[in-house]
Amino acid sequence: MKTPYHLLLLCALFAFESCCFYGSCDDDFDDEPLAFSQYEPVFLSRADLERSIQLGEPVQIVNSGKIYVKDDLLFVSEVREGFHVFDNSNPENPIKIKFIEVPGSTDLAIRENVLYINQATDLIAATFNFSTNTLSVTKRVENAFPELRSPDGEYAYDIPANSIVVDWKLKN
Amino acid sequence: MKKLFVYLIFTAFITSCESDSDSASGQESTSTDGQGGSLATFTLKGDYLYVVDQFDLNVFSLGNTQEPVFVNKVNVGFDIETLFGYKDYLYVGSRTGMFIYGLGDPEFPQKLSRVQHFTACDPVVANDTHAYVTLHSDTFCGNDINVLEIYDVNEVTQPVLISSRNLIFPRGLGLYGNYLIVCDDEIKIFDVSNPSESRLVNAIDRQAFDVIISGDLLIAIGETGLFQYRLSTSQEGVAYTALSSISI
Repeated sequence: MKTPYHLLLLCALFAFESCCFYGSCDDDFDDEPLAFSQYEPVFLSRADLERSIQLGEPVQIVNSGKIYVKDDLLFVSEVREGFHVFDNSNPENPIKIKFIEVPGSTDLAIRENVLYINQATDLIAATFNFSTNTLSVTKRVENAFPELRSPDGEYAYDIPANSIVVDWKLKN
Repeated sequence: MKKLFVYLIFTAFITSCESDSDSASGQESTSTDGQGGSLATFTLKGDYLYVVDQFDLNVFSLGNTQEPVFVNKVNVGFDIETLFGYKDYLYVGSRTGMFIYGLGDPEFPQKLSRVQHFTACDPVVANDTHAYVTLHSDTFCGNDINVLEIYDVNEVTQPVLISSRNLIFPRGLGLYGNYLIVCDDEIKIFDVSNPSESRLVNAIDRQAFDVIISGDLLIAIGETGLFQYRLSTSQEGVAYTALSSISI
């Protein structure tokens, strides 16, 4: 009984090694790039990135980020997704009024009615008026900032042509 | 008549305050600009927007506010995390230290000084005389350091560490007059009227990672909620009243 079991193990080892030997191991790695990072990149094509900024209805806060105050408005970043906007004229009852969708963003600053936002590698400027439900991008400075690294400090590779890393998600 | 007199004095006082803050042109001076927390990477200053990324300090001209123009990129170092503007200075927080840049020439920020510390994440806030830095460790920041450091920055080219105290897990922070509010295992309020001997005077039992202090309003953000408090000072220190909390 003992010998056949060992033989079987040996055969299995051989089979496994030969798989690597003939190069098909590379394929396995292709299925799962960045084996060294716990995260995988989220890509957006440049065209989609530039179309992606939208003013929408309020949504649930899931992954809260930085905060910013301008007059009676309070902004809460939804990390790498956009910004929740609250009417905070009464801090006892802040009312969520809008969600600004900006994939890849984490930070903003506001002067008068102009928002400055980091969208992955770009800086954008946009004017807003929430009472008329308008938001329009007035300027985009492309590639002002370096490519997004994963939270554990890795760069993405095999980035599709004309695409930008806008986020990193934990691998399942 | 007396009322009018009081009114005149009051308006004179308000106007003088306004011109003061204009000349100061600190982070929250001009009412046309908003206000961020201590983890911010953006700051507005004069006709410029300054943004830090992992390595650099980026300068954008806002001659036309709607159309920023990229004018300069100054290499700072590695693992840059936060930017705080105060008067003519920019305080840059990184995982390896704090940098102070001067804005004598706003398109060419000049490095004035740097203090190094062990690898840890570090937001910074400052006033006329002192800079307050929290260092914390997490999975990505390495080391086991959880400290509040206070620097004398009267001489910005030579910051002097005057106090270093252990905390639990300090992150965002903000100044409220002579008080320093620090996001730790709770939101802690320290009396820093004598910065070399900071003293805990109150604590709010909430976990947050950053705060904005706007007048008497304290806005705190954490992973589990958005909390707002009204602050007030008295002989004993700082009192707070809960205004609202939104669960996340």
